[in-house]
Amino acid sequence: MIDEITLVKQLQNVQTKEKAFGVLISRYKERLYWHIRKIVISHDDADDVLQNTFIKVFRGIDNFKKESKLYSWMYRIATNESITFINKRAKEKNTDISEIKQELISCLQSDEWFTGDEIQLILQEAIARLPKKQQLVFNMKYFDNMKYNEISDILKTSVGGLKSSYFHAVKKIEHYIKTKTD
Amino acid sequence: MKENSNNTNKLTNSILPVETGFVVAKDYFDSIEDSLSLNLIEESLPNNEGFTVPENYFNTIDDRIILKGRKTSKGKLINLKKPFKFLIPVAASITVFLFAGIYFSSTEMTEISREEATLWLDTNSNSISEDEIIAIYEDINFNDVDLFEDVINEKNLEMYININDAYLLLQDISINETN
Repeated sequence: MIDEITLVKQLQNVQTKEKAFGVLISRYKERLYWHIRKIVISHDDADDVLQNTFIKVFRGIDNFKKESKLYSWMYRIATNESITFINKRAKEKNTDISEIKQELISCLQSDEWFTGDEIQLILQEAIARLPKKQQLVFNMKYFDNMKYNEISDILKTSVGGLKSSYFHAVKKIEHYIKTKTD
Repeated sequence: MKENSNNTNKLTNSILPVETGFVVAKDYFDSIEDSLSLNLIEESLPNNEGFTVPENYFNTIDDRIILKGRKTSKGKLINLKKPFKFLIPVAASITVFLFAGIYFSSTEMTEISREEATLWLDTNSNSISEDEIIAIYEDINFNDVDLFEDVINEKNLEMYININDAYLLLQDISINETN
């Protein structure tokens, strides 16, 4: 498996770019997909956003300055694409983002690509009710098992700030689940 | 025996340090309660989201992405000439009207941010008709102005496509063709 530095060099070389792009997709598609999916909820939407993310990566790789890790950079693009997608959906329906997320969650029960039980559904409802930053931090820390310094590199937030966000997110989720299950 | 034990104690106390040398982070004991509380909550939560994907999805997505990348990079050409023909003078004149109106109507000079001007253009550009523009610029024949060749270079075109969703672009084109 080629290392990241070599992969970036190949991506920034016209002659090896397309082949290296194939390697990049193969290596990161699942991680990026699940990150996107947690934000946009629907599989079809996640599929669109994932493709757009990789296209943006392909187009922007020549400008990648290696100030952060390649994966952090891609993750950031995926996050922005997902948020832009949700914002656009809200604008089209002339509503706000939190309402759109609630709407997406309310469709989950009948979604063929959701096989979660009642508690998993309630958890998704709870996450959808969090402020955007807390949603991201919670998903990345809890489900993706990312370390705080990795999340910090992606979201450009201090580790202390992330710990605080995560703490508040978990407390709110706990409170919401208790109110729904009591 | 007892004397030996006492001698051993004296020896170890003189050689071995009293402190362990272990240290903890500054606020460790203040934060430990919160950490434990979080751990307990996490234990009670489901450890996956319940999302699934169609069978073979991850086996087929690579080719679809590469195909899409090739299509967009080769620029499946969409003729944007007609919509662009009036877009640039519309944008320019609206910007001029906006700034002129604000300059003459207020006693204080207030600066309009780029974002405000862009937002105004986004939401109001469709309300300005071609006839209105033509009425203002009586001596310019827009049919003679080949804006696409002069103004829209490849970089601007690519930027425009990147900013705007392809589906919405196609909608705009079909609306303009109908009009």
